[in-house]
Amino acid sequence: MTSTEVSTTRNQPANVPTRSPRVEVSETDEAIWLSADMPGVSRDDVSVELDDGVLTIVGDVAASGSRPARRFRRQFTISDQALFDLDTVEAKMAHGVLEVRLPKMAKPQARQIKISAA
Amino acid sequence: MLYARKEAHPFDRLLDFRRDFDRFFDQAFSWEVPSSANAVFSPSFELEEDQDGLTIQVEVPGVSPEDLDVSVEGNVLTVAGERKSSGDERANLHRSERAFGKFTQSLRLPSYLDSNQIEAKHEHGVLTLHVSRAEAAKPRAIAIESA
Repeated sequence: MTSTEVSTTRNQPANVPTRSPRVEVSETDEAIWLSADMPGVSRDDVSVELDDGVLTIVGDVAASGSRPARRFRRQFTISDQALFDLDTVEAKMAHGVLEVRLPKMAKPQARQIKISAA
Repeated sequence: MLYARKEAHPFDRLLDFRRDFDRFFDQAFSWEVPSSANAVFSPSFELEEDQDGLTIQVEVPGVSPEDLDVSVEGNVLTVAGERKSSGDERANLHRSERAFGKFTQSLRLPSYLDSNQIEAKHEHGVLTLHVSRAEAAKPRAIAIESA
């Protein structure tokens, strides 16, 4: 699933109890990875939004039984957007964990410059 | 690089210093991983009782069903499992609030519940268990004899 999904209106009132999900941020040579614990959130109820260097993750859990609806939400600032290829951000959801991959821009290769004789 | 907003976290400032992918960065800042990196995963349990019995919800995000084990012995219900780290060993951790590892939690069921009648369901990182009330413990109306 590839998405820089922007979900505008969500079917939840604004006053649902909101928790900040626990996250893990790690980095490899190719990308920054963000994993967030969102137990009870299905793939259809999560949104990942990227707006002007601010990454917002939201996950909703519908009410069930006597448990009221609730929401996970957290925002992150990307301090140097130029380092990332933000058009190819990927997100996936598995067993209540959201994983977002922010790929880094490929570094330009070093080139040998030929020196021509005078 | 990527840091949480509007939170007074000491590491935010550190991460903010980072302006480029300096190759020395990894060594220089590798100690900055926040505390819970070695914390033990301990899922939260929520219990709710109704006329049918007891519903137990266990939050186990990132735990696959094959790594979960529910058992009952006598009237003791045990939920065990393991949350495995999917993290790349070579990755440089910037923030680690998620704990991993094995866990076991036991719960003594009250006698009015029927430990032979337990249903388990795993969905979106939540394990839901339902223990039915023993037949004899179900509410019933008592006929009143009139003299």
